[in-house]
Amino acid sequence: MALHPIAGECAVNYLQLLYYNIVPITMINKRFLPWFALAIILVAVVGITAYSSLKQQAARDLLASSQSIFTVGIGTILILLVVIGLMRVVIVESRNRAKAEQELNEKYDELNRINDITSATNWQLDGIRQIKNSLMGNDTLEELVKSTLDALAAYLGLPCAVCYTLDTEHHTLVCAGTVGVPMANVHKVKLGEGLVGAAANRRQLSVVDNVPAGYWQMASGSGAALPDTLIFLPLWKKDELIGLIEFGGFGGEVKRVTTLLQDMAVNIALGISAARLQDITESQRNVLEAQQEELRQSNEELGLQAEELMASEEDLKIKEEELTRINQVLEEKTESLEVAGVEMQRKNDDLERSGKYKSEFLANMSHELRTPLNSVLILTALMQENKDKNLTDRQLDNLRIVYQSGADLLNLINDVLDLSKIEAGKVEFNILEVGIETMAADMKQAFTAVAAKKHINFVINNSTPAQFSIQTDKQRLGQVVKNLLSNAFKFTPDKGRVELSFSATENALQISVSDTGVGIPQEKQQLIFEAFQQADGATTRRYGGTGLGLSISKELVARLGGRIGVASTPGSGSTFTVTLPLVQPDGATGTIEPEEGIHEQTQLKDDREALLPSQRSLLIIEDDVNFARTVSDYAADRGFKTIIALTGDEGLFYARKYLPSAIIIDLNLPVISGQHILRTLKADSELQHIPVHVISALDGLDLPARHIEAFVQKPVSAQELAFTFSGIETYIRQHYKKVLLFSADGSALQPFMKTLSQTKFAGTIYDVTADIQQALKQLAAADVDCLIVDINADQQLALAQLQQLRAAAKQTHIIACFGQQLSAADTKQFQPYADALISPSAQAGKRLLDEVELFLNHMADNKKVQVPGKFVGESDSVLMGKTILLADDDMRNIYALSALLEEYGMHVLTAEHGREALELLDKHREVSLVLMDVMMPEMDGYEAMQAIRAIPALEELPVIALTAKAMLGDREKCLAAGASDYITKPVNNQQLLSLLRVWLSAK
Amino acid sequence: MESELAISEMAEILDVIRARYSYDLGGYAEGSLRRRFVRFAQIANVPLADLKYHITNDAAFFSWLLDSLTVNVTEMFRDPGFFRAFRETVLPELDKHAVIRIWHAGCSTGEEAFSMAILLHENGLLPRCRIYATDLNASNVEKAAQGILPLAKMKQYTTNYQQAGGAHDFSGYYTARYDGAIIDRELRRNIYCSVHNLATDASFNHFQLILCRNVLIYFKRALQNRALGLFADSLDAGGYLVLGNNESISTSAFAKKFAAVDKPWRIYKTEPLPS
Repeated sequence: MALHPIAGECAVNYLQLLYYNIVPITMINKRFLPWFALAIILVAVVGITAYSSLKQQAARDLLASSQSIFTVGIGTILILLVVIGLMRVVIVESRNRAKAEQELNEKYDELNRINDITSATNWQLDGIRQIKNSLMGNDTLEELVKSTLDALAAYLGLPCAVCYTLDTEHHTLVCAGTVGVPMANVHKVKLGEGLVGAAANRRQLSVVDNVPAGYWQMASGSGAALPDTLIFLPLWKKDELIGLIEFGGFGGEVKRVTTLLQDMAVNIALGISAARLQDITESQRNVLEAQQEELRQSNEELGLQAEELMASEEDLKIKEEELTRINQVLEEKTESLEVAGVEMQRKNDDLERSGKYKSEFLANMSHELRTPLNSVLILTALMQENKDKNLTDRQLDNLRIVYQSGADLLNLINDVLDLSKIEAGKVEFNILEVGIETMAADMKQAFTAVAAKKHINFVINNSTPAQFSIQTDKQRLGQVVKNLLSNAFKFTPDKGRVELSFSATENALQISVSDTGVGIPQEKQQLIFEAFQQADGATTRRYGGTGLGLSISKELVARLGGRIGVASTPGSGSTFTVTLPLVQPDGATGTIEPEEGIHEQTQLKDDREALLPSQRSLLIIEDDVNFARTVSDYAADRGFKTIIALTGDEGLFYARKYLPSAIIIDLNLPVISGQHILRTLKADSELQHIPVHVISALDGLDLPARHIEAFVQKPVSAQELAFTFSGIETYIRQHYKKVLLFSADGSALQPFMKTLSQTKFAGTIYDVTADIQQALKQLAAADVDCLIVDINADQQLALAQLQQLRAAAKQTHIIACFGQQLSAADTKQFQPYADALISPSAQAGKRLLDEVELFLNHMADNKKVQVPGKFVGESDSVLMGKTILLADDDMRNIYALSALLEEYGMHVLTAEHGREALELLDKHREVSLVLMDVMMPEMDGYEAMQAIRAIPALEELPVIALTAKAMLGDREKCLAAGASDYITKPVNNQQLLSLLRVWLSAK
Repeated sequence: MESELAISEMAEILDVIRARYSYDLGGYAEGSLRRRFVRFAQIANVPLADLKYHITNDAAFFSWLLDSLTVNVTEMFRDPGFFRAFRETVLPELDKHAVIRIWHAGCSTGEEAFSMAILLHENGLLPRCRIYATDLNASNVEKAAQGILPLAKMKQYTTNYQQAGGAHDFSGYYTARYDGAIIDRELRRNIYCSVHNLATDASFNHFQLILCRNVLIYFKRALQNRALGLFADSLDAGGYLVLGNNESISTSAFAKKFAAVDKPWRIYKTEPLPS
């Protein structure tokens, strides 16, 4: 069958329609698939129906073709309707789809935006977290700044940053840390000044794009570069500016950075502020620790001492130590004493002292030996007179021998005693100026008779200058010369010759005794000076004498600072030579010999020879002879003794030797310069108190001011010299203690002067005067602290003078010093006018010096506390009016001690035994001190002391035990019985008085 | 606090003293030094703030300060037990020397040197002894040279002397008058008093015995070591060193140089020369 062309065409059209319209739709949306399937089915049904009808019509006839066309038209319309419906559905669907798509896009954009915001927020939050982390866990401000800056720079990607903190005191911003910039490049900035300072005044962050040239440069690995953008972040904590952070960047986005920074500003500000507080706290904690350390140290220092509660720890310390000692005392008291050990010690001491006792024994036995011997001699002499005429000549001869032997024995004893005294150092020398002419005359007188008797030619040669004198002990020197002369006469045969000659060298006197006697063999020449050793044992028997004369002479001469020698040829005679120094050396301190090469000037006259140490004196060290003389004359007018040195070494030597009161010195000196002397003086503790005035042509600018009192430049005017001296006098008035010695002939003061010359103590000036007017003048000028009056020859005159002096010087301490022993009545006469009386004794010199020094010390102590100086009468206030109980059964002792105590104004109660003492103590509560002998009847001292200590009120009463020298164990027993102290019998008065002053003194 | 002295002020004052007077007080224990400064200011009636000014400008003021700064606690025969121990253990050894040189370092006003002289005298050693008594404080040294002690203290000293085993009349060693007691000249003859600063000065001799009792406690560790070094250098082989009861050598660098002879009384001895 052949297909109708139109129908075929229609089918193709349908398929095309389907293809072009439906497939795309199905492609678009699967929802349209059912619709598409329906459309295909419809097309297919319509197509097949049309095709079959067409096929039938073609086969029969073409008549039915209009019906076919109609059918096809209907089918086409249907299909079109379906297609149009489909199209409509498709269009609506598309429209919906476009709308949904747009909505979707909008949503998508929205989503994107939200995403952006979220990530920005996250960045910020992360930044905040990191920065906050960086703000935490830092110990110091420095660390905090460092970690914060690091975190900021790293997080923000900024190459450099500087953190400033505000120094509120100076209104400056101080660099606290940097990143990418060396600290050194950053300086302090004043608020309001420059970019930084201006930025700090703003509350908000500020950005500067145009960085000025010369602004700080970054130091990075790539070298120095200048940032092109600066961000300034002021750090505010509420209204308080804490600091500022400055960032530098190389462009780029700053916005989000600034936001983050702005957000963080407060946090950083708080962090820094907190760290600063922490720093302060830390330093305060350090201080606290230091204080704790110190507290620990002071605890350590106080050591064993228990508590420190009182305001003054040092006082507490002293008090505690006292407590400890009291405890120890208590402990010690409970301990039993190791008696055996103590006894041993005593025995050792005894042995050791036995040597001393031996010489004491020798010295003491003089009386015992000589008394019986004197009786023998006197009785023999009486018998020799043979008044009853009943003695035979033979008996008389025997008596003469007895007498002679006795006399020899007495001489021997005297010599032995003399020698032992000299050896024991018990001989006091009385050093005076001794004229040689007088001595020669004395010797001539003494020996002329002997010479005449033996027909010996006695010659005296004196080659010393006229009026020559020597400082020595006249009597002792006389003894030596007489001994030598009598030896010479003794050993020189009749018609021989004895010569005595005196000659002087620069500093020594030589006395020679020559004879034409038997002489002494060379090997015996030294022996003759040894005790009991002579040229021949028979000599003594042949020539008489004790043989001790030379030994005594040798010892005496040695004590006088000289030596004795002999030159002799047996058979033709001997020469003994005594060499003595012209001036007595200072015994204890040793003579200061001129050092090697020092030349003592003799060109100018001064007072060197007659000067005592510590006298008011001026040392002038000056090489200009004329000027030295001028100053010296001026000084002499103003009452100074002068010493002149022309060279530096000489000056230093005199300063040490004479301890002058003041020194005037030139700088330009030969041998040793003035500057050197000044340094030496000031470094020497003995000399540094001496005021030094410099008078020199040099300017003296290099002298340390504390070394000199004043400086005067030459040439010197009279006013300047006067000024200098008034300076020296003022210094002396203010700094020295002044002692005036008033002495008509000075003899009683000799021992004192000797002791004085041996003491090292300076700071006191001793003036000596023999003129009462001079003494009164000085007293009137109130220039005397202590006056020593020598009362020697005429007691009535001396008393009158003393009264005069006392009247002139009511405030001055007066010590009267006696040349001879006084009766009690005499003492009473003098007592009202003197504060202290010193009687002569071997120790008088020492006692006087002790008295003076203690008084001056007392005065100085009182001056310190500004008590007006009224010392008269209080000299022994400690003793005055006190009641002393004296318990002793030896009446002689009671008598002697009460007399002494009463003399010092004490009341004495006496008891003969312990029981009586206790009864008296019970009645007399005013007793201040008890002197208790240990050996007494009824109740002995030990028992009595124990009984006293058992009475509570008397626990503190000073009880002094009197113990016997021989009874060494007594002392321990005394202390055990409760004695405060002990003193050995026979009692030394001065020692007892000292002891009483100690135990009667207030606590 | 008003009455406090800041560390910096203290340091400044010490600097001034060092520069102007050459006294180095830096080695003294700080706490104690500060308390004494404060107390001195009260005594002197000077505000603390003015202390430095006065010290700088007034030498007399400074010497007054120095007087009160240095500790002057001393007495004769202090710790009698020590003197008993000393006599038994040390004296027989000292006796072997022909000349005995003794140094009292920090002698204050000389009481201990006098006590030592009495002890030596009673044992017959004094004539062979040279006793050097030194102190930082010149006025102490002057007092020591005078040999005058306050009368009121003598009772205590008598008791001390008796407990120290003194065998004679203590009253025989002094003369009392007014408010003082002067020690016998013969006892003082071989005592040489002089200023010496343990902080700055060197040794001046060789000694058989050095006593430095209750001085080191006022020093800081460094100064203690300096002083002990000085002593170690100044002692002859076999020489003795005596310290105070609360002082010890054991913690110092010189502990090895000394052997304890009497520990409770702090008597030490240097190594004798190998024979």
